[in-house]
Amino acid sequence: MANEEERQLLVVIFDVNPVWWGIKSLQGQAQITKCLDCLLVFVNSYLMLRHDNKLAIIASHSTKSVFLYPAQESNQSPDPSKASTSDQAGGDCRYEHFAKVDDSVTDKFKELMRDGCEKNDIRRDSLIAGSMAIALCYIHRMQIESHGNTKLNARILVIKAADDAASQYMSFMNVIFAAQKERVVVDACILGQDSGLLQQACDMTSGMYLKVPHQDAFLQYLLTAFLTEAELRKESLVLAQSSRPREVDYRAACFCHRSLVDIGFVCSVCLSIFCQFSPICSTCETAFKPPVQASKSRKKRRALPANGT
Amino acid sequence: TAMSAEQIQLLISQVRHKKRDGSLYLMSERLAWCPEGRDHFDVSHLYSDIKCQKVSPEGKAKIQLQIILLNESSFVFHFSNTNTAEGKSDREKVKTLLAQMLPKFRRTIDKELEEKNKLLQQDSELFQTYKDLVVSGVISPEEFWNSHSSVRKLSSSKQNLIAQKVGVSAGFLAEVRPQSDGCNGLRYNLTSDTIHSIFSTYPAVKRKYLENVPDKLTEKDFWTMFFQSHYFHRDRTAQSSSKDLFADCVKKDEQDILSLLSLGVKDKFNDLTYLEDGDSAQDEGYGNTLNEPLPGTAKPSASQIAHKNIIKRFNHQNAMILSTSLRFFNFTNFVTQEKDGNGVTETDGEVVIKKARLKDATTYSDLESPHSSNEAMLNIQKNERYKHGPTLVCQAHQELNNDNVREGMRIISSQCENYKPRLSQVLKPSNAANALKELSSGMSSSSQTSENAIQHILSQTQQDELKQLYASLSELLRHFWTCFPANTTFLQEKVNRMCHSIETFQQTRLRVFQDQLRRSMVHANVTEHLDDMISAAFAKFNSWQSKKTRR
Repeated sequence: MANEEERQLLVVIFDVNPVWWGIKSLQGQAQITKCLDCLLVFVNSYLMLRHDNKLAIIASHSTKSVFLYPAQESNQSPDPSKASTSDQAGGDCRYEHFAKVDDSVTDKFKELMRDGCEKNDIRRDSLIAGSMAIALCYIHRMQIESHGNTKLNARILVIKAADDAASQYMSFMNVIFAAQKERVVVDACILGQDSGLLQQACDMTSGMYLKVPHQDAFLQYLLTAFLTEAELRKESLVLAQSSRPREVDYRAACFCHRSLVDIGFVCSVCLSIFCQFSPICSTCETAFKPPVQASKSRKKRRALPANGT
Repeated sequence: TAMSAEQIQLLISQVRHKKRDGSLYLMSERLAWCPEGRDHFDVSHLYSDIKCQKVSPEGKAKIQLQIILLNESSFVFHFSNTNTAEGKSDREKVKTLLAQMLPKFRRTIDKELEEKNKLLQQDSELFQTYKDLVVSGVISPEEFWNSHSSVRKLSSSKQNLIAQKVGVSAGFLAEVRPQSDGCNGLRYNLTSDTIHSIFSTYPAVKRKYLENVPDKLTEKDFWTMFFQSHYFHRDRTAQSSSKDLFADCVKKDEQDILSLLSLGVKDKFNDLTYLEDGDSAQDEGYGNTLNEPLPGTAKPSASQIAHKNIIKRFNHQNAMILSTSLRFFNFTNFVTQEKDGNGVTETDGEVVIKKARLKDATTYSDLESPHSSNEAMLNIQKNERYKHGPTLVCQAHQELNNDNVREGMRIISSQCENYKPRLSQVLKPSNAANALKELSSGMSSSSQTSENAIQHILSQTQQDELKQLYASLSELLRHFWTCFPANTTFLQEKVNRMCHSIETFQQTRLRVFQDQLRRSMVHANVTEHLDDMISAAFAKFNSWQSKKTRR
C-alpha cells in the first residue's frame, strides 16, 4: 500500500461549460446534474479510503474557475435559508466529512451556475489551463502547509467536456511543464471529443487518459480507473495495459501557417519552425543558403562520361 | 610408455614423486620418472615442453625440484637420499643438466600467438566464432585476426611498452644505511637501484667507475672509496692527495657550482637577488645577523665554513638530481639558455607574460563581481509568433449565437437551480458491468508472452544454434561490406573471396539448420532474416560485378 508517511491530495477539475452541457442536454445525451452526482459519489469513495486523504474540487467555467470545495470563506453573513438546509443535513446522520463536501459542492455549484449562464458566458471552451494553474498553486500551498512532515502525493483529475481551444495552447503547455516539474500526475477523463492537449499532459506526467464512451456508467469508469493513485496503477494488469503510451501527437506547429508539421525547417538562430524553406527567416531576419542538392546531379554527371567513352 | 632407446644422460635413484619412491632419468630429449620396481615411466616430458624449473630454498629440509610445463602444470620431485649432502648434490646435478638442456630445446613461441591463444580461451564467444569460421575453412586466420578489435588491443599495448621512467629519489643516498658488522667496520648495502641513482646524479662518479673498474680497482674497493669521499661525508673537504679518486671530482664539483650560480635564476619571480632595493636580501634572517660584519670582510670561522659547505653540497646535489630528469628529456637547451647579464633588458613579450602571471596570481575569479558576459543579442522582429500554438484541427465550426445554445443554457440553468444530489441512484449495475468489461478488454489483446515468441517455437539447442549462425554470418557480412568501395586489387579479391565464403556458409550451415528445423516440425520461418541479409549481399555483389565489367 501507499507509504505510511505519504498523504494523497486529489484535485478534481470539473468542466462545467454551459454551452456544451446545454447542447448535450438538449440532445438528451448527458445531464450535468447526473454527472455531478457521479462525481460526488466518486469523491466520497476517495475520502473513504483513508482518513487523511485530501480533496479539492474546482469547477472550470467558460469565464472563471471556482473552488467548489474547500469553499472559500465568504464575508457575507450566513443566509438563514441556507443555514436551515445545512442544519437539516447535519441532522441526518451522514458522515460529517461527506456532508461537508457534498453541501459545499452543491451550494457553490448552484451559485456558479446561477450567475454563470449569461450571454457573455457563451464560449466554446472552458478555462482548463487556468483551472489547472489554480490547482497547481493549491497543491503547492498544501505542500508547504504540511510542513514537510509528511510527503504529499498530489494528482489532478481533469473531467473534460468541451473541446480544446487553440488560444489556451501556450498556457496549457506551461502548466503541463510545471506539473511535470512538481511531480504532479495529471489524469484525464474525457466526456466529449479527444483532447490532444490533455493527451500530452497525461503522457508527460505519466497519468491516465481515458475517454468515456457513454455516461451511464460514468461512475464506474471513475471508480475503476481513477480511484487509486498513480503508483498503484502500475500493479494492476488492466490499468497498466490501457495506459500504455498511445500515439500522442507531439508535432509542433509551423510559424507561418500554424499547422502541425512532422518534418520542417528550423532557424538555427531563433529556433522558429517553418514548413518550407525561405532564404530569410521572417522572425529574426537571418539569411540562409538554400540546401545543397548536388548529390543527384553529380551522379548524373559522373554517369555521362562513362557512357560517352 | 615403454622405455625408449634414448641415451640416458643422468640417472638419479631415490627420487620421490607424489609420495612414491622411484628414479629420475634424464635422457637426451626428455625427462622421465619411473617408480620403484616398475619398468615403465609414469611421468615423461620432453625438454621442449618444459618452461622452467625451480628448486626449494636452501634452508628447507626437503630437497625438491619442480618443473613447470608450458601448459602451466607442474611436477615436483623430492630427492630423498638419506644423506642430505648427497641429495643436494643430486639435485644440483639435475638442475645444471636441465639448465643446459632446456635452452637447446626451447621453442621460440611467438608471443603474439600466446596472446591470441589466451584471448581465445578467455572469450568463449570469440572462440566459437573462430571455430566456426577459421576451423571450418570459411575464412583465413589472418583475416580473422586482422579485423578483430581485440587484436588491435594487442598491438596497441605493444606500443605502450615505452615505459615511463621513475625519477631519482632525492634521498637515495640516505637509504644506503650503514650497518655495523660487529667489529668497528660498517656495512653498506648497495642495490642496483641505488647504483643507478648514483650514476645518473653524479656523472663524474660514473666516469671514474668506467675508468677504474674492473682493471684498476675492484668494485668493492671503488665503492669503499666512494663512501669515504666527500660525496658521502659532509666534513671531508678537498684533499689534494692523489690517492683519493674523488679529489679531482671535488674541484670539478666546485666549478659546477660556480657555473650554476652564474647561470642565475631564470624566472624573475623567483629571483631573490632582484630585491636590491633596501638590501632586503641582505637583511637579518637571510643568513646574516646585524652584529656580524658583512660577508666577504672578515674571515669566517670554522663552523661557518662547515655550514657553508653543507649548504653548498645540498644545493649541488639537488641541482644534479634535477638535471637527471632534464637530461633525460633532452631539455639541456632549456637550461643552458643565454643569460644576458642580469636580465635588465627584457623583451616586450616577456613583459606581457610577466603581467599576465602577476594578474593570474593576484585575482580570484570567484571574488569578483559576476561578469555580464558579452552575449549577442537576438534580434527578433515578430515576437508574438512564439506565443501561439497550433490551430487545432478539431474545431467544430458551429454558430455560437444559435438558438440551440441559448435553449441549452436555459435548460442547464433550471437544472442546476433545482439540483439536489441524489447519490444513491447514480449507477445501474448492468451499466457498471459493461463498463468494467470494456476496461478489462485491454488486457486480453496484448498478452505478455505472445504465441509467436521465439521461446515457444524453438528448443534451447535450436535457439543456441540460431545465435551461433547469427554471430558467424554477421562476422562474414562485416568482412564483406567493409570491402566496399573496392579500390585496390586486394579489396577486390577479398570481395570475391567473401562472396564465396558466404555462399559456402549458406550451403553448409544455414541449409543444414533449416533442414533440422523442418525435420523437427518447426514451420515458422525463423531464418528469414538471415536469408534476407545473404540475398542483400549477393545483390550487392552482382551489381558491383556488373559495374566492373561495364567500365
